[in-house]
Amino acid sequence: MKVALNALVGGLLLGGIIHIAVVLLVPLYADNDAWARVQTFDAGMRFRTLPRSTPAGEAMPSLDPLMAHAVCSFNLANGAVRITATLPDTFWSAAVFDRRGRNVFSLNDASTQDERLDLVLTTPVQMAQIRQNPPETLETAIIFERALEEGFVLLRVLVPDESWDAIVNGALDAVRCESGV
Amino acid sequence: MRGLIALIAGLLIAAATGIGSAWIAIGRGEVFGAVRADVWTAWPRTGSLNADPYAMAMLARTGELPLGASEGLAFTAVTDSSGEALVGTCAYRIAGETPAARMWTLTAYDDNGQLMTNPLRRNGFHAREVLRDPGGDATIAIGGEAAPGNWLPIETPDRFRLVLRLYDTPISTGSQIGDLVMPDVIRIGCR
Repeated sequence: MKVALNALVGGLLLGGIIHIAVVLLVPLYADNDAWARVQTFDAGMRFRTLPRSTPAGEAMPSLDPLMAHAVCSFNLANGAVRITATLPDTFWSAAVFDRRGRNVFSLNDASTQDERLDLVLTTPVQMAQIRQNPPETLETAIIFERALEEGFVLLRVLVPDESWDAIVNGALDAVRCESGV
Repeated sequence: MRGLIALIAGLLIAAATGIGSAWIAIGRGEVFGAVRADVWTAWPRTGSLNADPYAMAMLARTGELPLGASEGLAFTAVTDSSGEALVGTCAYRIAGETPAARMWTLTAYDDNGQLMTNPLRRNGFHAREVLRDPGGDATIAIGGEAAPGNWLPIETPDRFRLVLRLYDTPISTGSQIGDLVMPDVIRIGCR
């Protein structure tokens, strides 16, 4: 009886440890996470417009079917990244995700003065170097500073109706994602 | 001998409870930090650096890209306002106030999280396209049979879910969570 109780209590305690280990390890071994999916669009240092979400399929799960999306993946180890875009006069937002798919920074069209997006992603070290000799063009940019390496930026643009398709797609095709400031 | 059996039994209990409970928790993914208002549920922290380990595991498995704090917040409903599951054989009306937001979209998904094919090619409505009554209120009909006005078609006899995405809303930055007024989902009738 005592042996059975020991087995039960010990088993449950060990079960708790296994539970925690599984939950913490899943992100490290997931092979179909957001990063992996973004890579299938081969988005390194340039924006790729994702196929719109339709009943036939979604590029990434749970993207709003009323919005158009574009992604650019980057690696700050290769230098600061600057993202510039002129977007249509409709709701849009931008989000920076880290390698693990965590949303580290986001902004929307009300964060900028006009419909221009000018976002600079740097590490603190790169920012210190930039400050020594700041380029004039940086004055109007939104600067996001964090010790990131790999990550990606997702742009979401509302497509109010089909007549906007060409405008939104044209604007997304022209978004730039470049190394250096 | 009894010791060996007990050891094996203990290990089996550990594996079953540990892996099983982790699997269930990750499958639901959203254990902590839910914001509930009537039938609507959202997880604001999932789209932030403060996402808990369960949310991180869920995101890693699904590859979902949650809305960030400055983007908005997505609310999901799987039941109507009386607590009954949303099913495609019934007709619903969604009406009432939405929280302050610069934009919202309402989308219907089937039970597997897929959008549904329909002849109108309509998968959702956004705030600027809904027809409104003279008072400025919008009512959206949801169901399998065509309805006048704003109609969001459901092409499944089974369960479905509604996702109300609020864009640029003070809720997602955590400043207005107390008195959340969300629209009602009212069942009108069933086939």
